[in-house]
Amino acid sequence: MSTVKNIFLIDDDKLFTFLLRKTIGLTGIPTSITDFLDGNKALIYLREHSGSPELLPDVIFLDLRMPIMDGWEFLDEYRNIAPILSKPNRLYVFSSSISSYDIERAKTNPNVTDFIIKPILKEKFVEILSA
Amino acid sequence: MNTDPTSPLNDITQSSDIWAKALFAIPEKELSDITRLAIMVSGASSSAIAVQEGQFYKLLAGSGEKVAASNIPSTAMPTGGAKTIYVPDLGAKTISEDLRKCFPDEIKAFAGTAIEGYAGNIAGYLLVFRSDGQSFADNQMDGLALLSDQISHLLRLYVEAQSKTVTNALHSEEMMKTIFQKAIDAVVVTDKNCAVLLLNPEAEAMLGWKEEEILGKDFCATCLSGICYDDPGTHEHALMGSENAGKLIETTIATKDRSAIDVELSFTSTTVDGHEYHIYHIIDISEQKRARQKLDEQRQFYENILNNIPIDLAIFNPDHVYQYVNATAIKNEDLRKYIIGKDDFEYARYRGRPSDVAELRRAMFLEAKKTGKEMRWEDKMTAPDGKSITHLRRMFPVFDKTGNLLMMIGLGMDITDRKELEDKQTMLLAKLSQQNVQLSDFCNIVSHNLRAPLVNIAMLSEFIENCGDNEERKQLILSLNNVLDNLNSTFNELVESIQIQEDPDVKSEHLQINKYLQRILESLEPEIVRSGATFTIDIDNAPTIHYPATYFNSILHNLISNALKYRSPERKPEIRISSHRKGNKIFLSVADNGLGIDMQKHKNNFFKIGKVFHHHPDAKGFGLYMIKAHIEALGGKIWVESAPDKGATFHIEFTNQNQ
Repeated sequence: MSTVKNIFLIDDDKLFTFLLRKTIGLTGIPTSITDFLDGNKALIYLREHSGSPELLPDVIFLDLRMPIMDGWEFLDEYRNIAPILSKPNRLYVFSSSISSYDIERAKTNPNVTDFIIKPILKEKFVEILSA
Repeated sequence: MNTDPTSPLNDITQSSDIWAKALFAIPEKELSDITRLAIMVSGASSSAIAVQEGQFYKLLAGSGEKVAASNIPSTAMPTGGAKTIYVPDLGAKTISEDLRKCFPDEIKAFAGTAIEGYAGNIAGYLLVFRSDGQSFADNQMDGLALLSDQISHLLRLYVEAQSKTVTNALHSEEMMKTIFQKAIDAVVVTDKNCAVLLLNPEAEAMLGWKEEEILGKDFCATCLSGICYDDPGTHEHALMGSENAGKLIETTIATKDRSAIDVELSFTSTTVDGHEYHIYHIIDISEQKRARQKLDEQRQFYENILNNIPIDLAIFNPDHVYQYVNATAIKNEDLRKYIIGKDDFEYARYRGRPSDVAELRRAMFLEAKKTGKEMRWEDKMTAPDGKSITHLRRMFPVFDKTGNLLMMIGLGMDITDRKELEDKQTMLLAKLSQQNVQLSDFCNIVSHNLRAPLVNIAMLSEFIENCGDNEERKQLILSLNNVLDNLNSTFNELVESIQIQEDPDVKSEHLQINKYLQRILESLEPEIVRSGATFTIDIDNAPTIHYPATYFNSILHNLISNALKYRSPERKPEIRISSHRKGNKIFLSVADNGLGIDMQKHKNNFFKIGKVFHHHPDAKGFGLYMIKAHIEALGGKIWVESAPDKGATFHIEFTNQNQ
């Protein structure tokens, strides 16, 4: 089955998103990747396209630390949007944070599938995208 | 014959004359009983007692037929103390005519035996006369001697009784005697030379002397260590002066066993039958004195405690007037005495102090009086050496059983040390919790600002390693250099921020705000030129500030560079810096017309570490967090007013500027 996976990257670190794209490319899994530089931009998009499943993501990678609206603020707002999204998704929080508080807080959020500490290896992407 | 050399009446017995006089004083009836017996014993016809008076012996208590008509010349009687006399034949030629004439013709012979006082003094003779011409037999003479002994005995008794006329005079007052004997207190009576005459049982018990042991002794010398006369030689009574009459004198009295008793002594003098007597009235007060001493010791003990406890203590009456103040509260004794009977207002006036302390205390007093509850407060004052002293004051009312206010007890404790310690602890705690926050912040900073670029570096180097295309490889290496530069500057900033926070005790100094502004503007010149920023500076109201130089520089630099950094792309930056003073505070503000911040959204995490509000390449989220930490470490405040696309104004309040 080779459906194209729709991936949303919410992170302000342009270098990182560039590197991430390259890493995902190395997996050979067909993907469509959309970048958002902060949480607010992603929210606006999701709200706008909540009724169009083909435009909605299969997987969201969310960074915690961003300007304007950080990952936590995004999650607070996302709680209200998730029920109206016409397509289910998995949301991974990734961060360079090694704070156990951040990890615990992210994992107990019902909308978060898992917490991943950067860097993310190719193998992890294979595991996530094949699921 | 009976002699008694140890008689107490020696002074009286120095001459026969006195004994003779005493013989005269014996009632004649008693003597004539004896002369009648003498007739029977000796077989005489008559008997009499001859007592010398001048040139003659007078005849007393004559009994029998006929006694001598008149006095017998002394020359006819024995001299040199002969104890017997015997004239067997008055008609003999050796008898002088003078003697012969003294007797009636019938009397042919006479004999006599001596009547003696003490120490061989002869008072007179018991004489018997014969008219039957016979002579006196030996046994008749012996009988006569026994009778004269009898008279001697009687005479001595009589003289002794006579010498006690004083005693008799006092004793004769039966009432007085009873009072004297039964008196609860000890009473001693002496003559005017202090010789003891009387001692009542109480006095015997007190002094340990029996009356008969001390009779005649000098009372003052024996028991009063001579205090009762100025000069023992004259026996002039110091105590007997009119100023001491009836007065109680506190002294010690010596007992027989030489121990001292504390007594109260009063005396009076009285004259009976022309004799002066001193009456000492003595009360044993040693128990009282011991009790009083103990009371005194106790009082001393408690006063010692009260004056030495490190607590100010004051007792007020229900009108807030001082009744007692201990030495801790007021060290100066004169002031301590002054304040008794006064209130805090009078005291403040007296010391030339403002009345605010008195007013506060009055308010607390009234509240404690009204509510019946203890009041507690702290007051600060400045000691003469300029040090600030903090006292914990307590005031609590004491009521009697019926609920009336008896007194108010005021306590004050110097808690300056404790206060300082508390302040230190609070500071330590603030520093600790700040450090704790810093620690978790540090974790975040490491994560976001150091770990993120490291992750990128790791990933980049892996790609570079596996990259076949030369051009792409070049591109990747360029990225790697950028990340490394960024990492380096982030690291330096981080170190600087931690260093500055490590040291909250940095010294404050007077800083010319203008000087610092110029320096900062110079350092930011390229950015200012690039952006075309204009500055308005209004610091005339408060041109100087008391603050640590490094902190002030860091604060000002951060705010101005932020204002430049977050400028609006649509207009040139206009930045206004102003300062003004209000009391001991200085307010500084930096206002811009830049991008502004949505305050609604960010009000809670404005100054959080790592928080950035704009997509700006240099935004790392340190600056505001750092200066807030600096300002608050020194008791100041920072806040912001802003609206999106309108600009932002940062306000800082600097405290303790009156230095």
